[in-house]
Amino acid sequence: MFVVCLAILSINMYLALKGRRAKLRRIAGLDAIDEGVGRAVELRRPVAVDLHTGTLSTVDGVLALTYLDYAARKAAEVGANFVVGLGAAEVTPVATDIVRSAYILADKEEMFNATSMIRFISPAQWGYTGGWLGLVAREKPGLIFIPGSMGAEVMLIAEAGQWVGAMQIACSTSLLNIPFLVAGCDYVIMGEEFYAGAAMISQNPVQLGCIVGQDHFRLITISLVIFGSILVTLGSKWLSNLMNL
Amino acid sequence: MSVVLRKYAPMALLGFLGFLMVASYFSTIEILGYFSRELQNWSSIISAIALGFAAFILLRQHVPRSLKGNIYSIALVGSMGLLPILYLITGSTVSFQYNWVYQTWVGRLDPSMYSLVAFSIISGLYRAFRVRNIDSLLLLVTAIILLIGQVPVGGVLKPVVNWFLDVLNTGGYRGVQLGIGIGLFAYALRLLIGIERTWLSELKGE
Repeated sequence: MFVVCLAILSINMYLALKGRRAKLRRIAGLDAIDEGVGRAVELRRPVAVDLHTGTLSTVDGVLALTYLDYAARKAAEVGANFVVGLGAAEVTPVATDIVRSAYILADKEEMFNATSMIRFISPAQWGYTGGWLGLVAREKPGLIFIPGSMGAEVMLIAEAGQWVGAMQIACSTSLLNIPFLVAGCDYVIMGEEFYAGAAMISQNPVQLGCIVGQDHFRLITISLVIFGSILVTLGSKWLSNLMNL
Repeated sequence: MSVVLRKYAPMALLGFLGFLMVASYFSTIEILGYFSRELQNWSSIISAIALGFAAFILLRQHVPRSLKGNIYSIALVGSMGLLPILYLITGSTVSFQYNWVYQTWVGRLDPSMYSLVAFSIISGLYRAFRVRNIDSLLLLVTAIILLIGQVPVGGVLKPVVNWFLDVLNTGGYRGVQLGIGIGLFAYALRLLIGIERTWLSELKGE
């Protein structure tokens, strides 16, 4: 399956490179970022991004930086103030660089202030949560963007934004986080959308081709699930044995 | 610094090390396993160095604020200094003084924060369970059945609760998990072959 998936993704990326353009449905949460940033500017409140304690050793942690880059660019374009909360030490210089680059590209370097914009809070779960709640209560952001997964504090983080009237957009691949985020946030980019959204943000045709490849592989997987269910119902374990090889 | 060093060297390094880790997972060649273990050790070392760097940044931000009389910054700087000082005095991280500070401060603050989750869940539930349309009505009815079914008095609803959890809930979860698995694979591939490079930031990619 590894080889099949690799082959399908590679073929689709190659076709995209050769000029085939994929039409993808929009993700509501991504579109809402523009709206949220505009709202924050109108309310004269900052845009806040909660990177949480996500580290660079997890895929979600690295992916969160893509969303940080997008939110920072949108905020810089309209001259919104920006705050990033993070709890992983090694992410601090990377996040600083990304936000600084966003403000430089928007010709607003004078607005960038690493001390007030990049807030290293704590690597401890509840230490970070307490710090983030304080930050939200003091800064009262207009838009809070929460990319990445977290633990039991998810409901506190989501409710903190509601208490100050912030628009909230969350992204998570954690099945334990999603119900709480749906209850507490205005938009949730959930599951696979988190990964697909990163490609859509880039607008890179090859990355978009990769998303099409994902869908093709998913169709194959679903077909195998249905076919395997029928075979097992009929008493044959041929396919399940093949998959267990 | 040249573009090669700023842009291509980190990408090449990521791709090489990433594929090395993938190869070590699928292969039984001992040298690949050795490199894989070494890389993971290096990852821990780099994280430890970065933590020291972050502590320095934190102090750089909060020491000036402490000098201006900001009470929260004073508490933060004081807390950061207290445990290392206690360690230097007692020479141990299991001494009575060290443990007393940890257990009575950190050990109490963590559960205190955790207890706040209960209040946020109640306010979240209040908002989530407001009936606005047919979907939210279904959510409310399902939640009530599940809540009643989980307590002793609702034992008669146990088969319905189990059906909700084992069939509807598990089916939905597996669908999402399937998408996450494929999405993760595709994202990792994009990262390793260098077409996803936001982590380098735009200026480095010029």
